[in-house]
Amino acid sequence: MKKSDFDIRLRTGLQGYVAPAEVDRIVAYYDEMLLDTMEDGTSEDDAVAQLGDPGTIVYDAIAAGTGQSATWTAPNPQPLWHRKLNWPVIILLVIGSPLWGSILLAGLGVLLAAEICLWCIPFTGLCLAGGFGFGGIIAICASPFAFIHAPFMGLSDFGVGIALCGVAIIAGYVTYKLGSWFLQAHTLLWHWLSKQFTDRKVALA
Amino acid sequence: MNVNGVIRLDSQLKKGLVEYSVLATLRHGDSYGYQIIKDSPALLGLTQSTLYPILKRLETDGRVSTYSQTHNGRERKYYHVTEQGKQSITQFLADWEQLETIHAYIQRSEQNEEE
Repeated sequence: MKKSDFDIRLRTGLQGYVAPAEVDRIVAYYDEMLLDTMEDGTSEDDAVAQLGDPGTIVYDAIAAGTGQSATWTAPNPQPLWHRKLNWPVIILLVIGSPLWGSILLAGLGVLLAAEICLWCIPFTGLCLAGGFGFGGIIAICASPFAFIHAPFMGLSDFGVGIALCGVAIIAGYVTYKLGSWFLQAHTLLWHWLSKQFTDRKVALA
Repeated sequence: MNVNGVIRLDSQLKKGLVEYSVLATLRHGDSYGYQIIKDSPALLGLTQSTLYPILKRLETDGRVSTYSQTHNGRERKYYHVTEQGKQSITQFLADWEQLETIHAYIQRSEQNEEE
């Protein structure tokens, strides 16, 4: 990497997250370091390599709050409904809707597929519990009539009904337990998705 | 502990030591970033990126002042240790005696446990 690339990546990374005066100060510091290192006989590439990744320097500067002077505050964007209508942007959005609209639809499709995959296991468990439970109740209810016809059939029917109800209870319990995990996964998925729209992004060149 | 010629200490302790080492380096005479790294003990593992926040903190605290001088057609920032900085070194050396007392106390507790 050349010195000019390093300077650009450092400056663009810091801008918007560190006070403008501090951006100049940090860039000047590393610029001076580079020139002094090169003056000492190190090649430009090696001098830049010694400084490390500009992205890491940016993250460290933001994390350490080195640029957050007492008076400087990050720009606070106005809520969407308080902003004036920007007609050129709206026209561009309408014209470009076949492009961004299809991407949006594809994104929603992926989200829907993820949700279906997520919930198909608890849904299967619920169906199993319901099916076994229903079959068990029917078998128990039918057992007295079978007992009148043939006692051994009635007893077998009753036993099978009890067994089916047992399986239904186990399936229901497992589904209930798994359901809480899947609900948690669903909440995390939506939380992550909402963060993509609400969080400010750090763009590193 | 000493790994690859760089001293490994608790980060807070190391941060304090590096600060006073930089001040001690500047006590020999005003200097600039690159030279400070060269003059500082290699054991501390001071780098370009770790020096910046230290210099900034020392400047904010008033222990170091800065001025610029033209060098080879460009501006170079020089750091100068202030009276406050010199006093903080004196204070650090005085505090070190108390630290040694605490160190001895901690060492005794470990020796007692071994026995």
